[in-house]
Amino acid sequence: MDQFIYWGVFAAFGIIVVLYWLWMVVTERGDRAGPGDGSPAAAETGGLHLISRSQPDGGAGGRGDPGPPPDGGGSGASPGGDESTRTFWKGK
Amino acid sequence: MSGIDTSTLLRIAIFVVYFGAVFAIGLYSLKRTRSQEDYWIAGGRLGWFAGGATSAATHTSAGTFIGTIGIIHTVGWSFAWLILTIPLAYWFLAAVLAPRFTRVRKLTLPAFLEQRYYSKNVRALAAVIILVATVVYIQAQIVAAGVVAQVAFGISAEHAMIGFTVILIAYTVVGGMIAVVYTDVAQLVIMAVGTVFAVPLAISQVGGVDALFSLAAAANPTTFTWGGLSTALLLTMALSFFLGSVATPERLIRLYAMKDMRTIRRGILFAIVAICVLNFLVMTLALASIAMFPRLPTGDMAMPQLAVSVLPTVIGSVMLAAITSAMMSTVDSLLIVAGSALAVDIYQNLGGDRVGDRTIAWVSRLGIVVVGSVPVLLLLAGVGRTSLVQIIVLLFTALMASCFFAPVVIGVYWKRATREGAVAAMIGGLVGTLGWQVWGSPGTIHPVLPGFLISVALLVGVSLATPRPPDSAVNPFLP
Repeated sequence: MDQFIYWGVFAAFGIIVVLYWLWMVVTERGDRAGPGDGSPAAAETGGLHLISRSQPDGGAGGRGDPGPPPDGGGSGASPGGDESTRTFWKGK
Repeated sequence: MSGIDTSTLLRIAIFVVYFGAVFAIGLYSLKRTRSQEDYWIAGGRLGWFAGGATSAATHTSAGTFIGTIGIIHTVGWSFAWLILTIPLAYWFLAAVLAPRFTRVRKLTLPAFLEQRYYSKNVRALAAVIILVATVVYIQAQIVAAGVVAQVAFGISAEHAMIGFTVILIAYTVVGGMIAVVYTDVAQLVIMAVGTVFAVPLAISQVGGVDALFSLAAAANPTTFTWGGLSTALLLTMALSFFLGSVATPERLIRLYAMKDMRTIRRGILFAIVAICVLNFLVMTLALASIAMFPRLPTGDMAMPQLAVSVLPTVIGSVMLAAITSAMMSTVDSLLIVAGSALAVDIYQNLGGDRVGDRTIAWVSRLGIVVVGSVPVLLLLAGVGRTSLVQIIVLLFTALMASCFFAPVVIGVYWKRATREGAVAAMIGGLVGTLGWQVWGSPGTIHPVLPGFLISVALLVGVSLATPRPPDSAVNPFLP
C-alpha cells in the first residue's frame, strides 16, 4: 500500500487548517491596529457594518452605524418594516 | 404489525422522533420570523457557531454520505484528495470574496447581481438558472433518500421519496431560514454522532486498522493508488469542488446571514474543520464498505448497507438518520434559495412596487412547494433517475460555478465588468458546461473546465466591448 496517498491527505489538511488560523489571527490583529473609523478601508478588512446595506420592506434599516474597532460596528438591528408585515411573517 | 421485525420498528421509532423534532423546530422558528430578512437570511445576525454549523451542514449532503462513499468504493482513495479544495475554497470566500461581497447586504444572490450589474434582466436570468439547477440537484438527494429507505425499511423508493419531500417542504415553508439554520445545527450534531460511533465499530468488524487496509486493497487494487481516476479528471473535478464551494448561491447567502466579518472568518474555520473531519470519517467508512461489500450493484448502496448490516441497530439507525439529515440540511437550504429566486427575484422583480409584502410572502411559500414538488414528480414519471448520486452533485456544482463564479468574484474586483458581460458569462457558462456534458468528453475532463473558461472569457471580452458601467453600480463594492 502506498502510505503517502492515505496519510498525506490528513497531513495536508492539518497544514491548511493551521495556515487558516494564522491568517485569521494576523488579519484580526491588523483590524485592531487599523483605524476602525468607518472608512472604506476599515470595511475592507473587517467592518462590513460600516457600509449601509439595502434592506427589504423599506423599513428594516439601521445597521449602518459605525462602532468600535475591531469590527467597526455594532449590529444596530431593529425590527423595522410596517406592523402588518411583521404580523404576517409571524404567521398570524 | 406482523412482518415488521424489532430492528425495523426501532428504526421507524428513531426516525419518527427525529422528524417530529425537525418539525417542532420549524414551528418554533415561525414565531421568531418577523420580516423578509428573517425569512431569507435569518435576520443577518448569526454568530460564528450557528453560521459555521449551517454552512457545514449545507455542504454535507447525500453527496457526502451516499455519493462520496459510492465513488471511493468505485475508484479508491485518490478521490479523498479532492476534499482539500474545500478549505482552500472557504478561505477564498472569507479572505477574498466576503469583504467586498457583503458590503451591500441583499436577500438573494440574484439581487446582488442586479445591484452590481444594474439590470433586472441579469437578476431574472440568474434566478431562472438557479431554479433549473436546483431541481436537478434536489432530484439527486431524493433518489438517495429512496435508496436509504429501501435498504432501511424495505419500503418502496417511491413512497420514501414522497414522504421525504412532504416533510422537507413542510418545515421549510413554515420556518424559513431560521428553521433551516436551527435544523442544520441539529442535523450536523446527528451526523457527527452517527459517524463518530460508526467508524470504530466498522473498523472492529473488519478486524482492525491493518486488516481494513489490506482487505480494501485486496478487494479493489486501485484503492490506494492514483490510478482510479485520470490525472486530468481528478484535477478538473478538484476545480469544480473549489469553484462550486465559492460560488453556489446557498453558500454565498450564508455570508449575508452572519453578522460581521469577524464572525464570518470564525464561522468558516468551524465549517472547514467540521466538513473535512466528517468527510474523512465518512471516507474511512467507505474503505470498510470496500472490505466488507466489494461487489455491490452500485456504490451508492455502500453506506445504507453498512448501516443496516454491520452496525448495531441503534447506531445504525442514528447513522441512517444522519444520512437523512445530510440530505435534508442541503435540500432545505436549496429550497430557500429557489423559493426566493421565484418570489423575490422573478415575481417581485417583474411586478415592481405594486407587489406587496403579503403577496410576496405567499408567493415565496408557494414557490418552495412548487420547486420542492417538481423533482419528485419528475422522478415518479421516470425522468432523472440515475445510478450515482455524486455525478449529479458534481454536475450541479459545475453549473453553479460556471455561471456565477466569474460574475460574482470578478464583479467585485474589476470595475469594468458590465451587465452585458455578466449575461454572456452566465449563458456561456451554462451552455459550455451542459454542452461538454452532453457532446464532449466528461469522463476525461470535467465539464466545469470548459464552462468556467468560456464564462471568464465572455465576461472579460464582452465587458471590454460594451460601455463602462455606471459608478453607482460599481462604487458600493469597489473602493
